[in-house]
Amino acid sequence: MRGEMPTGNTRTDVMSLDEFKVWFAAEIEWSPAEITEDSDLVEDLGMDSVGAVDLMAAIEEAVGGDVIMPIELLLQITTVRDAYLQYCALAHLPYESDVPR
Amino acid sequence: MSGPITGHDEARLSPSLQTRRLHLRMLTNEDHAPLYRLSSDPDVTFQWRFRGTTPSYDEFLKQLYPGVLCQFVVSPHGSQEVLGLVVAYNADFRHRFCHAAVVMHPRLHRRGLGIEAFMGLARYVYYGWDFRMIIMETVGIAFENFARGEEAGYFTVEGRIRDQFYYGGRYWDGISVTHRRDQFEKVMQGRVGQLLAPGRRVKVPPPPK
Repeated sequence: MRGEMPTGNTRTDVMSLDEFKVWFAAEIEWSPAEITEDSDLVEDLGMDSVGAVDLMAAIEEAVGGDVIMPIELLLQITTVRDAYLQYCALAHLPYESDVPR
Repeated sequence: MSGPITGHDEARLSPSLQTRRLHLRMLTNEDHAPLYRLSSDPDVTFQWRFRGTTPSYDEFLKQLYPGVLCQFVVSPHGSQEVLGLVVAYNADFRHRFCHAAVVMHPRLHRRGLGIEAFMGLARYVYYGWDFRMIIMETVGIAFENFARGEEAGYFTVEGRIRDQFYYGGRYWDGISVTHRRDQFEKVMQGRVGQLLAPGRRVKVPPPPK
């Protein structure tokens, strides 16, 4: 179900919200089997910092692995629906530049 | 490059102070005031060194440097904004360990960014010194923010002093954890390695006014 990372400036094969919920429950180790889009990641699902690292990395992998979840998007994630919206944003926003090393 | 990042390349130690979303940078005079404000934030102060007390600005500055091996302000890429501070201190060169502390702005808690900043510090410390382990002392309430860390292999809980610290109407355990060199190398092989991997940034539009 992972999206492809083509050579252009956008990613494709973006999941629907229903597909994302199935993906979330399967891919995120700390997720219960049953979640709703309104589930609060911290309050309802018990996400801690380690869980946030899992989620962040999993979403980045779902859009191809090479794209960074920006802090601005990360801070907008409270519920499963928010996570989906930021996943969509990450899949569609244009690239800025490579991270300097 | 495309496809999932395995983190394998990032397991190598490096003097780099760049992580995926953050850069660790030298502490300057301009950072003192934001850090002083952060130290007195109600959501931070009881977990940081001053434990709710309110030292003068001068006293705060005096205590910012003694015993420090290295410390870095945590900022986002492309900005000097002070998101937090990572510190390696009380180094013991005979027995080859040091202590470390991470403080992050409360709005970033439970977002994984403190772990990202710590892993950046650990990579730097293990690159530069032959330490066997990094020791952290934390308070129960802060520990809850990364409670899965031991299970995930990030660190080992070595000791717990029951009901050591009081605030918020109750006592909290004091907890000692270690992050050992082999743990760093091991967790970097997995998803955590992605925290230190380079990648491509996207353009985020400014929020609507």
